Amino acid sequence: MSLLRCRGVTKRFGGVKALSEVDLEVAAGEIVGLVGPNGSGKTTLLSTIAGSLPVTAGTIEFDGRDITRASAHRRAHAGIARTFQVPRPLGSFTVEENVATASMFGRHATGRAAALDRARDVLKAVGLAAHAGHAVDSLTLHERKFLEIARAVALDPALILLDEVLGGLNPSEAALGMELIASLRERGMAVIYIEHNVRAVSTLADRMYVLNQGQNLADGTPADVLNDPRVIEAYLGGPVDA
Amino acid sequence: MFHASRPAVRGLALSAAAGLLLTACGGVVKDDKSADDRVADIPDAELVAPIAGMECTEGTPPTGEPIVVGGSLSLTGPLAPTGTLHDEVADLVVDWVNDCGGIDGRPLEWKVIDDQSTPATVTSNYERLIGDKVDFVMGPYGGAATLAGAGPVTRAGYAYPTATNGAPDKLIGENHFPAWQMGGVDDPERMFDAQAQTLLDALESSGNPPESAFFATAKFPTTLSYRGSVVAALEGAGTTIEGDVEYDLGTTDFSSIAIRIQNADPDLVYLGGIGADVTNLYQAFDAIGYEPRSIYVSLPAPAAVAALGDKADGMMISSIYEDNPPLGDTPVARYFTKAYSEVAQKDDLFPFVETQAAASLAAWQILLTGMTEGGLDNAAVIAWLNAHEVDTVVGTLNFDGFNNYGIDINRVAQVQDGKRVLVWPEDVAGAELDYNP
Amino acid sequence: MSVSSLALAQTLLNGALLGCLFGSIALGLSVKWGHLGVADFFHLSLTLLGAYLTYSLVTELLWDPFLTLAVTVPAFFVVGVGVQYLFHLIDAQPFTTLLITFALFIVTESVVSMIWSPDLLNLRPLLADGFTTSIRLPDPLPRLAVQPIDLVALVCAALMVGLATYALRSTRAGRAVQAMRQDAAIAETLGVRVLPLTLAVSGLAAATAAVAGMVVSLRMPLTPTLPLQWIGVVVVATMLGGLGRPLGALVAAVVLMMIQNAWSLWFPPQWAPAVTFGVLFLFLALQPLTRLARERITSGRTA
Repeated sequence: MSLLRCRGVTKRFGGVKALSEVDLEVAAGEIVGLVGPNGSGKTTLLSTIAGSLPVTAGTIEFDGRDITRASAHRRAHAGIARTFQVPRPLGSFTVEENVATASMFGRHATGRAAALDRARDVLKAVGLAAHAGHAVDSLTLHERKFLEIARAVALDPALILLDEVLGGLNPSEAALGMELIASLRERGMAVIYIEHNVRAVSTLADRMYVLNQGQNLADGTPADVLNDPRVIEAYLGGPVDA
Repeated sequence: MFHASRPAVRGLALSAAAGLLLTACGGVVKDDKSADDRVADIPDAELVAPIAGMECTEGTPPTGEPIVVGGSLSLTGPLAPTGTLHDEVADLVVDWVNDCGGIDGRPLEWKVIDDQSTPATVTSNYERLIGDKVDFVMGPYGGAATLAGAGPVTRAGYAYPTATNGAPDKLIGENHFPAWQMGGVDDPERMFDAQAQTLLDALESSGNPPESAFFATAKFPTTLSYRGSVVAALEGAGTTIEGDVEYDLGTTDFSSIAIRIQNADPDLVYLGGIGADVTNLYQAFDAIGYEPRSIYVSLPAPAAVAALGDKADGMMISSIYEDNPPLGDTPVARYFTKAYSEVAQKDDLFPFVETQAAASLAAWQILLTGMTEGGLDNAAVIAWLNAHEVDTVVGTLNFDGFNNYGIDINRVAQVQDGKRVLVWPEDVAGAELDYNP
Repeated sequence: MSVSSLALAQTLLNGALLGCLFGSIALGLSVKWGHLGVADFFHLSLTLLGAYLTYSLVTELLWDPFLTLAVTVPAFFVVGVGVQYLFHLIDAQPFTTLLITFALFIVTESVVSMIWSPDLLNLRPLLADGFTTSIRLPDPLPRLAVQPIDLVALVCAALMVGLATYALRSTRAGRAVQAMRQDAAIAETLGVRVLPLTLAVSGLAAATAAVAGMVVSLRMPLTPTLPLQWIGVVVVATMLGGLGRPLGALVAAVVLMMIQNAWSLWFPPQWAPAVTFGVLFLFLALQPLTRLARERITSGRTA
C-alpha cells in the first residue's frame, strides 16, 4: 500500500497553472527523486503535500487517509515533515531549541526537557552536536541545511520532503548530505527528494518522477527515467551524463 | 495545555488575592441616601411660560410649520459630558414651549448635529444648518466651538445666543448674545477682572482672607485667563502665592501636584480645573493623607463635586447659578429644576441645575425673548436684543459691553452640608460663606 | 523649590504604583503587538469597558468588585478570541488590523458614552473605607502613605505579568508562541497549532484588560475618554519594554511614571506627558550606541 498518493493535483495561482493533474505515489521507506527544470512545479508540489499551499483540485492521501484539506500542523502530526530550499531557522532560538520545537509539537509531542534530549540526539546524528547551544546565526550554509533536516527528523515523520538540501554545498559537504539522506531510509522514513544534481538523485532514489511545466512527464527507476527519450528531449535537452 | 492551564492558574491566583484583600478591606458599601432621594425631594412645580411676555396656554397643541432652531453640540468626545447636558436642556425647552402652545401657535423644533468635540466640525455643522434653512441657531458649548461657529452664523446674519462661551475676549459681533456674562467692561483685557474681584470680595467677607495660596491650573484658555486675574487680585490683597503650576488638560495623575501642595500647605488651594480634575486631585490628596485647608475650584463637573461626598464640604466653586433663593425661587426656576431633574436622571446626567444647565436655559430665554418681542426674523431679534434687557434664570442681562457682555454674573458657590449654595455676592446669596482656613 | 526627601520618596512611590496599573494595561498590548503582530488600540478600550462593567456590576447589582472578574474575565476572553478570529477570517495584514482596532477604539468611546452617559462616574464613594483610606508604612520604614487600591494594582500587575512572563518563557505553550512569532509558517510545519494558539493568546490578552479595568474603576473616576490619557504611557512603555515582553513593559511603565512624577515635583507638570516621549526618543537615539558598545564588548571577549 502506498504511504502517499497524490491524484490529479492541480494548483493555480491566478491564471497561471503551476501544477496540472499531477499523480505521485510513495511507498513506506522509499526514496523518491523529484526532478524537472526550473519552474516545473517541484517545490509547489512539495508545498501542497506539506499543506503549506492548498490545492486547486485533486486529492492527497497519506497513510490511507484523505489529507487534501488538512492544515500544515495536522499533516505534521500525521507524519509529514519538510525542509525549505532556503533554510528558515527560528532566528532567536538556539540550534537545539529549533530542533526541540519540532519534537515538542510534532507527531509524538513531548515536554520541553524530553524534547531537548531528543534534539541533541538528532543533532548528533546530523553532525551538529557541537553547535547545539549556539545561535543559528553562527552556522554556515551547509550547517543550516543540515539543521533543516534535523528539524524535520525531530518531528519523527513517516515521510520527509527535502527541497534541494544539497544545493550550494561543496562536494565533500554534499557527500555527507547524501549519507544523511540514505540514513533516513534506514530509520524507516520515506523521502521525496528534490535536487538539481541529477547524479545525486539517481544514486539515492529508488524511483524518480520527472515534472515538466507542471505535468507528469515520466516516472520509474532512475535508469528507466534517465533513458526515457521524452525526458532527454524535454528536460535535459541532450543525453544524460549519469 | 496552554489553553486550559494559564487562565485556570490565573483565576485561582486572583481569587486568592481577592480573598485576601477582601478580608482586609471589607468590600463595597452601598450608600444609597444620595442623589436619587434628593431628586425625589424636588417639589412638583406648575407649568409656566419659560419667559416673561409669553402666555402659557396649556392643552392647545401648536400647529403648522415648525420653527426650527439648529445647533451643533459635542455629543461625543471629551466635551460630551457638558455637550449632552446642553442637548437635554434644548429638548426640555422645546417641549416646554410646545406644552405652552408654541410660539404664535407654531411648534418649536430643535435640530442638533454632533460635532464630536472638534471645532472644525462645528463650522461645517453650522454651514449645514444654515444651508438647510433653519429659522434660528443656538450656539455650541465651549469657547473654541463658539468661535468656530461664529463665522458662518454671523455671515448668514443669524442671531448667535451662547450659553457658556469660554472665550469672551474674542470678539464675535453684535449678533452674539452670551448668557454666561463675564466682564461687563469695554476692555477685552479685563474680562476676568470682575470675576476675580468677586472671589476676592467673597474671601474677604469671611473676615479670614487667605494669607497664602497655591494655584494649579489646567492648560485651557478660560481657566488660564481666569487664573491670571485671580493671581493678580490676591497678590494685590497681600496673599503670598506659594506655587503656581499648570498641567495638561485631561491629566488624571495629580500625585506630584498634591505633594507640592502638601509641602506648601497653603491657606487656599486654587484649582483652575475642569471636569474631573477635582476628583483626581482629591484622590491624590487621599493617597498621601492630606486635607487642604480650603479649596476653590473653577469649572468642575458637577458630578465630580457630588461624588466627593463629605470631602467636598466647604469647597468653593465658581458658579453663576445654584438652586437657592432668590434666583431659584421663581416659578420658571422651580419648573425648570423639576423638569430638568427628571430628564437628566433618565439619561444618567447630574440631576441638579447649576451653572451649565442654568446658562443653557438662559441662552434659550434670550433667544425666545428675542423671537417673541422682536419677531420671527433674525435681523429683528438682533436689533431688539441689542436695545433691551432680558430677564433670565441667572439674572437680568443686557448686551451693551465688549462683545455684548453687559454685566458680570460670576458668583461664588460653596458646598454646605452636601448641598451647593451661592454665597457671594450678597444679592444672590442663599447662605453666608463659611471660611476659616 | 526645595522638596523634602520624604516628599520625593512619596511621589516616586505613587508613580511606581500608578505605573503598575499602566503596566497591567500594557501587558495585553505588548503580548498582542509582539506575538500576534497586532498593535491593538482596542485593548485600551477593552480596559475602559472592563472598568465600566465593573462599575455597573458593583453599583447596580452590589457585587463585590473582585467577584465581577468571574464575569468580565471570561467575557473578555471570548471578545479577544472573536476579534482575532475576525482577523483570521479576513486574512488581515498588520496595517489592516491597526485600522480596525483603531476604529474600534473610536467607536467604543461613543458606545460607552451612549450606554453609561459621557458624564463622570465614580465608584470611590461606594467603596468601603478600607479601600480608600491610605495606610502608612509601618516603622522603621519611612512614613509613606499607600492607598489600598494601589496595592491591589500592584498585586494584579505582579500576578498577571509574572504569570505571562513565566508562561512565555518556560512553558510549552510559551515556546509555541515564540516559534510562531518568529515564523508562523515554519511553526505550523513543525506541528504548532497556529490558529488556536493565536486565538488563545488574543483571548488571554483581552482577559487581562478585564482585570486592569477593574483596577481602573476602583482607582479613578471614569469618563469615556480615559483611554486617550493612557495611550501615551502605555504605548511608550510597551515599546520601551520590548514588544512581546510583559515584564519589560511593566518595568518601563513603572520607571516612566516615577520619572513623570519626579519631574512634576520640580518642573512644570504640564510637560510631564512630554517627558514620556522624551524618554522614548532618548532610548531610540541611544539604541545604536548601546548596540555598538555591546558588539565592541562581545567582539573583544571572543578575540
